[in-house]
Amino acid sequence: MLKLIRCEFWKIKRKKLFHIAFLTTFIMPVFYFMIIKDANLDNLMSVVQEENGFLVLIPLSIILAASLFFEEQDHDTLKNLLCVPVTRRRLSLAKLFVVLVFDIAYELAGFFVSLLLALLSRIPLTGTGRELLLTIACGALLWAASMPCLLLVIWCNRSYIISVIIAFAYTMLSYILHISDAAIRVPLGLNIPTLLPVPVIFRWLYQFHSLEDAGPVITKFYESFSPYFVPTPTVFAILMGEALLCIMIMIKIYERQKI
Amino acid sequence: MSDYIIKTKNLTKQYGALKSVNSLNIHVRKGRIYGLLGRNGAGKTTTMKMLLGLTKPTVGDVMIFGKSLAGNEKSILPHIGSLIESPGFYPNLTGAENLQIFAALRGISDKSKVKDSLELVSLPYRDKKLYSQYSLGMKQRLAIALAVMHDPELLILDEPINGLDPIGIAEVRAFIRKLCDDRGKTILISSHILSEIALLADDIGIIDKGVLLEEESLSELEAKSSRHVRFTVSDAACAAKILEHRFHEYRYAVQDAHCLQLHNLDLSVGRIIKAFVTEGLEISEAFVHEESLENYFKRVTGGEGIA
Ligand SMILES: Nc1ncnc2c1ncn2[C@@H]1O[C@H](COP(=O)(O)OP(=O)(O)OP(=O)(O)O)[C@@H](O)[C@H]1O
Ligand SMILES: [Mg+2]
Repeated sequence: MLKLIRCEFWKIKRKKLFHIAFLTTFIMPVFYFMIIKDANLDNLMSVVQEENGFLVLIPLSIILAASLFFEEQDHDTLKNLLCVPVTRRRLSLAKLFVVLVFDIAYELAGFFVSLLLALLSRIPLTGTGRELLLTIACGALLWAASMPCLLLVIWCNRSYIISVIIAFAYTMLSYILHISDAAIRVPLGLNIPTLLPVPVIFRWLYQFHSLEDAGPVITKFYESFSPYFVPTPTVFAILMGEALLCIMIMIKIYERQKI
Repeated sequence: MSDYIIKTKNLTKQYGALKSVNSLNIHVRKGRIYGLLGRNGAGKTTTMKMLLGLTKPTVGDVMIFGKSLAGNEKSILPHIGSLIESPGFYPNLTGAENLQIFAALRGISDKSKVKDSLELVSLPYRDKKLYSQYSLGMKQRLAIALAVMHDPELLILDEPINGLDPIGIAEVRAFIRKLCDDRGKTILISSHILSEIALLADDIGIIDKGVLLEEESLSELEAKSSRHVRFTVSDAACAAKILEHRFHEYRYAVQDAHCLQLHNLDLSVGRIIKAFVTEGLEISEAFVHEESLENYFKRVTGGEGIA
């Protein structure tokens, strides 16, 4: 399995898609830093975790994962792998692991850029350790949140264009849901909003916002929203459970596909 | 029998209503080159895919190294080197990097293996050229390098000389021959080019529309296909007896009451005719029939042109 994962990393070599994708992590924090005057570390980090994560990382990781999966078919390399023999199950797990590493690295890169920006402009660094943990957790959760969509992409088994459209549709839908009360102001339990990946991540993440410099509007929102916060073990259980289910179905589909 | 490296039993693959491979029973002997000959769409690739477990047979079994392939892929496949249809590699990597990936997956720790196998197919090891910039022949060479890199017992090569230039073809041919003769490897090779198979194979299977029409050694096939003497006599059965008793010759076939084909041209036709006449047979025709392997192939596959 380790060999497979190492090989998956080798295959990324010289792939522009991955390099460009990785660079996008710097856009949001820099942009935010430029337009907002009195940014604090908490704000900067939440841009990395939320806007960067929900809007950029989710579609990116779906597209990258899809390209990893489709590449074997496109280049006719799957037959060579199967003859080694490598099973499709292990191959897909290795690919998903690469995407997980990418997602965490992506979030971390955003974290360090924000940290650098904060240092340069003498923004006080408070709670850096906690923010670091939150960022890593976000990377893992966002990876899990992209699995349902990846399942759809693999099930469709269509061209890149279709996959990109599906990925963006999923991202938009998730983003809209995470700011709509119907999806986030529902208590945890056996209901659909509890199962929506991005809104649940938001309900978990928001509780860590600091209210120090917050104005009355934000404070009021925070307080009215607090009953719907999701504890850390719960958010991981929900998202990883969903991801596991999706991955199992994904592997089944992948195993059935013809060469 | 255990000295068959590959043996299939009623191997069948059905795509929709079409049987691409139909009740195929092939027997590949150890240390021999077996040529699978068939026209485009005959089912060669489909057969080889089933031999490698890339597609499941609809019906039938594959036995490799005396074991059933189904369920034993993990122990069987590492001893096979294969090239199926077109070469498949990662375009963003160089040839050597591509091979390194597969070497790692196969657990080959010896770094020189990649270099050796590239040298074998005369591709440069230290080359910055990416696979996407390779020519068709170079791609094919890389695929051959991949097939032999791990020193497999059995090679399954689907049209390996596709896209190679004449010198490349001769090189690959010599190299396959050497693998078989010097190293005792068993090789299954497919082609739609008869002359190629005739030059290389020890045993030949002719497949058409998924059905195995003939399976025999090249010498048998040549004997059968190329030259025979056709006698038209008053009593073919009697002529057969004369051949057996007077000439101890059994390589003949009685076609009908008056027609007999003799497959041994070393016997003097004149002496046979004399013997027939002495025994009171009437001879209306004796005809030495020379048929090229190519015509034979056309005839058995019922086809018109073949490349
Ligand atoms: N995945 C598939 N789905 C449906 N039909 C298929 C599939 N693969 C092969 N066939 C059919 O099976 C038949 C045999 O194909 P195959 O590729 O085995 O031929 P071949 O002998 O390798 O031909 P060639 O010399 O052109 O390579 C063809 O009629 C082909 O259309
Ligand atoms: Mg073919």
